Amino acid sequence: MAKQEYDAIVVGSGMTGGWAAKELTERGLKVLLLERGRNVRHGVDYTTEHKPESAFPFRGQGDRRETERDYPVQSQHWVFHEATKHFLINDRLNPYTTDPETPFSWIRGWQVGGRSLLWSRQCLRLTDLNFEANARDGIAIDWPIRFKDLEPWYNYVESFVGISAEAGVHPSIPAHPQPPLPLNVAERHLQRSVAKTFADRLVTASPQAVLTQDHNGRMACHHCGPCERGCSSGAYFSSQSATLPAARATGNLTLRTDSIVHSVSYDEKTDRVTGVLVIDAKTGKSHEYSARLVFLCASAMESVRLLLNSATSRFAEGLANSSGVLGHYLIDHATGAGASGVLPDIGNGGRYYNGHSPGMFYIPRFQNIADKHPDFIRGYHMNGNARLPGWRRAIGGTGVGAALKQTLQDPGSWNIDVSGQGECLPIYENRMTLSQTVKDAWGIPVPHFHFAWGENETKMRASMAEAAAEMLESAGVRNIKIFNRPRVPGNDNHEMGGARMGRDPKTSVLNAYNQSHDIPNLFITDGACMTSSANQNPSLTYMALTARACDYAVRQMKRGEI
Amino acid sequence: MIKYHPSRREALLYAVAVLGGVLISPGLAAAVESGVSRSGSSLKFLSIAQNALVGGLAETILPETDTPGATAAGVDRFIDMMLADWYPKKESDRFIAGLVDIEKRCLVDEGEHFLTLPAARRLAFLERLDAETAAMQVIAGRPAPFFAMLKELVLVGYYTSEVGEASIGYIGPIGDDYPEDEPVRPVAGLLGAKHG
Repeated sequence: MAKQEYDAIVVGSGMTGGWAAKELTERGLKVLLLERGRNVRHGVDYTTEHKPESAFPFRGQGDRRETERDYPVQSQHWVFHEATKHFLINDRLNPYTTDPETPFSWIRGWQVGGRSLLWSRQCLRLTDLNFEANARDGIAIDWPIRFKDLEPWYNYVESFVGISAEAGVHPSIPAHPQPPLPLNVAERHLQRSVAKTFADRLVTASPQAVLTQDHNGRMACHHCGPCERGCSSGAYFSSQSATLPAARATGNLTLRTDSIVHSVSYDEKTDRVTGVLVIDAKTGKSHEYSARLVFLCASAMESVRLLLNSATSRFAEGLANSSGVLGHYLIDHATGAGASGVLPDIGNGGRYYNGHSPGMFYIPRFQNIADKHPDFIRGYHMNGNARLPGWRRAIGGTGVGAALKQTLQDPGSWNIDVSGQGECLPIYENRMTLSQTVKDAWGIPVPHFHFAWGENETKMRASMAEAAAEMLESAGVRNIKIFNRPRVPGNDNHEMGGARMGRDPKTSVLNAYNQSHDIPNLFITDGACMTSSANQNPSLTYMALTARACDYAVRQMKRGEI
Repeated sequence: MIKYHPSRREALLYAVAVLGGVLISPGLAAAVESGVSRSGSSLKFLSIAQNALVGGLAETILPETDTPGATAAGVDRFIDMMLADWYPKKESDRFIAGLVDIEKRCLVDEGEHFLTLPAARRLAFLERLDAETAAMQVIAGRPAPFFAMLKELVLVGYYTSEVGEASIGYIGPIGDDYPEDEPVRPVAGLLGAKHG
């Protein structure tokens, strides 16, 4: 075999790519980290951090015409704002297609760090309640791992990341956390009311990848509020703040930005991937990079797309797809249902605030634990916040003149909301294929999605709305409004699946170590690997799976198995 | 924040708008409707006359109190920019039609142009419009009434300006803490229909 330029290639520098780069370089491998997007440097390139609305051309309203023209999908997501749009892709220039009756909202951040710059930082462990669910329900296939396999790696990544949470109150909460981010007075009021009224429900601080104590050279959070604009203090975990500096410190990392990976190259004689073909996003020139090990961390849908685009004579339906399930069993989370209201009798401090804790509250899943719910299987957890509306409460309200102005000197009554995030059952029909007709700017077929919510998700949402309303009622919340507006699939930003893990190469793409069943030196550790979605936010699990897979891959290399 | 240097004519119209004095140009009402001239100004959408009326309305909605008002915050310029660069043409045109209507309504109700009314009568006129607008049924998919659109623009234009941010002591998302324990009671009789 020809000498490789690198020991390992990692595709993607986001949540999992940053971890793969760190773990592989720290084990002595020379790593080429390929990022399709532009460079974003920690601190320096957080151009909107700490800026008030008056500093923005459209005062935070965003350039409406540009938004409608260039960001029709990205702007559907709460993270999109005049202050963050430069971390989200241009939809017009980067289209994809869907079946007409099943829209899909694909949120993408193409830059170094990917969506690790934008994520909502909630870190929840999966437990065996989740890992056993498919087998217990007779749905899809069994996970090839259990909690005990991942527990050491949850411990490992959590201790590097630094997670703040209320220790020990629920098994989904990371071990040995830093002190939790504070709940505010209105959130504490809800916490007490729920504790008094509902024996099976708990309101706790959301476990977050936000430091409350200085850690590994990163500083504790100073509560400015909008983490997704960039966090130069490093309190917020991102590739920029944590994993890439660690990778760089080894001297083994080469980062190439503006590098579109066209396909993964495979050698039939040796039955190994040999590297990747890269198109330079700026010049259009292509170059083949070779390595002994390839990790796909391009984000779930992009990793799947890459393999579909790397078909060979042996793998006619996509590289590493002897099972035929590549692109299938896509999953997301069911959201968009809950309730909100007002707490006018709780004091607000009588002033405006120049920021707030980025925390929220977390209510762990309480359905289908002890008792079987009559309407649905699996479950959902809930999150929410209490916030002060400020002057915006006057929009659509009454009042003019000095009296209005005087009133708006006060920030208003606490508005509190609770909403759910529920598991989505994996079905074969929810899938991604390559478009037969549309290609991207570099000649690569764009993804074509078919994704429809199922009955279980619909029933779950109805339950979320009811549960939210009754908890708010218990706290004396007024003007309670229930909402149940199913979001377009993908809009929760937790799109996963497409290259699931499993024991049987006939029904799964990856084994228990995120290794391709078909090709031993190919690994996928981003969301594509998920065999079920659980209800928990997935990034912490992606990190743990990545670190575990890197450890395994390097041990296999040392044994000469790869 | 958009800073500008008004022409002498604009400055005179401003003085009229704020102080409610006698109009220098008798053709001002006609000028609001025809919306012809913004030559010599840095306006992008509104005519000078329309801009003066918008300025007068804004200053009545959020006047100078112990903190500066909408005029000092450049709300009229913000509204001009939004009409030119942000709203689709149909909505910007609807705003102008609403502006013309408000002038006509004022002539009917008060017997005078808005900008010639003294401050107390300007406020009373807008309080009536505000109450009427609040009583209107909100129909999903139908455009908001003009006065609601105007008031929203004034609120946003003021409170996202440097002047407006300073008036509520807001510097930006730089770091702070909501109260964790029971703090000072809220002010009694809060306005604001939606959330109290």
